[in-house]
Amino acid sequence: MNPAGQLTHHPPIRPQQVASLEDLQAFLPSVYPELTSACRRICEDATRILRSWPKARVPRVMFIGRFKTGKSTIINTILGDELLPADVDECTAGVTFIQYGPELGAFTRSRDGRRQIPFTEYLTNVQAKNVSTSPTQPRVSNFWVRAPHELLRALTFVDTPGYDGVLPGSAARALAAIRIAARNADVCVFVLDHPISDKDLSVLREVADTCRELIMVLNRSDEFDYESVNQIRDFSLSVVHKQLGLRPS
Amino acid sequence: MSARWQSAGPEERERIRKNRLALGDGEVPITEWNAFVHHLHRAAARVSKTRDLAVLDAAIALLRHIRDLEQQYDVRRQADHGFLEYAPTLEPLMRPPLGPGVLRRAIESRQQGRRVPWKVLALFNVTPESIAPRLVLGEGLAAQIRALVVKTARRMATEADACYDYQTVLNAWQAVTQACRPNRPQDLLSEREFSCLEWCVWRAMCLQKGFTYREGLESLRQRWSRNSALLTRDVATVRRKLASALASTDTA
Repeated sequence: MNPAGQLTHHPPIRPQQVASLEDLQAFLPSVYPELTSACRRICEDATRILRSWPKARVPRVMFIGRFKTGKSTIINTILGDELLPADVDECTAGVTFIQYGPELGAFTRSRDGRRQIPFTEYLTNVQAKNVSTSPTQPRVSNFWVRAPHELLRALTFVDTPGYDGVLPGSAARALAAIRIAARNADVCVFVLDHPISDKDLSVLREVADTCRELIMVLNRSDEFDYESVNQIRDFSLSVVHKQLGLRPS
Repeated sequence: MSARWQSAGPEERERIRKNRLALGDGEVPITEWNAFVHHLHRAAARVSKTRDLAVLDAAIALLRHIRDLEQQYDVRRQADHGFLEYAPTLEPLMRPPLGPGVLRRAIESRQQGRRVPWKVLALFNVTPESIAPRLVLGEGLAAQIRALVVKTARRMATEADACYDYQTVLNAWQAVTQACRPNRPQDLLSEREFSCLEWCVWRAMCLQKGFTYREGLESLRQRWSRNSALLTRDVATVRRKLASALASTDTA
């Protein structure tokens, strides 16, 4: 293949290049080394395209933010169903992928791959108060919830733990989980309930590089007066614009 | 926005309202919930469309590459062409069972305009498996990709048609025509599979470009002029649908 990416054309075989049958047998494949490599490249490209095809189906919307900003509540409200536990304390301790399924079900990862668990078990296991608080625990658990909501045919939601949890080791584990989830997320909803801070900015900077779309929302506006809501919004937007160079659309 | 306010029942809302009034925060919290959900949908649709188009582009580039390879590396044709030139040089090398009879018959068939038999070419390591990219890559692989292009393009066109995004409809249609090998529409286009897409394309041309029914048909005719059978069949289908649509309008 030439530098422009075009296949070069070989001239017909010439007799003077062949002195014996062995020469001839060695000759033909040697004329076409590009063919072998081009075929291999095409097979690799085709395999990659075919593998990525089904994944291109449903966009993933990831919700991130500090703990108790209402990420799970927003997802529950959008779906009109209490699929995710929401509590007054630090609540979510695992990453949950909410996908479409013909009936309600929950799954977790085990050594043998995904394993179905009772939904009540999911509700218990995903809560921070029921998770081991050992700082040596390497990472948060992933869960998959399937529910028969029409909206989930078009979107998959990803609920993440708050990245500033107070339980031992929870913040670091949550950050690691968010980084991994952000790699495969298409839209990131950044949930605030206060003016944006340095900590928020550092997380936002990381996910802004990987997600295609970023939506910033100020939740819990019922706890603020009108003037405060406007001030927090204006301040956060100007900081994001100055620090990250992102403009609101 | 306030997810809590949004999901609250009447009693909970009344409680929030009273609490806010007591604190002097105003009666109802600022919330743009519908705008948020709408924005979320649009962002996801945008991402999905961009990704679908990127996958279609990659698949079409790959199909084009396969086509180039098939056309430029027709090794059998090159071997045929060169065979007569080097055949005399090879004659002394022939041993039983590759006796001179095999070579003579091969030369005769070449002189009579027939292809040199594979079994002769195989003596020189020229075999379908080792040289013909079409066979090495397998018809199955390209066919799989073509089928996926059509499936994805049909879905995109249907979704785009539903939200009046006619440019995407035309892009999807272009992907299908590019994925289709020249003069081989039967690779892709069964009537049942194709009917949905053609309807969207026709609507797109009429509504986006301001074509009349007749102009839309004429434009379709030009686009499909590569293959007369396809043209006849599809224009007939569009005509049938038009008649049906007009009949239903009259009834209404």
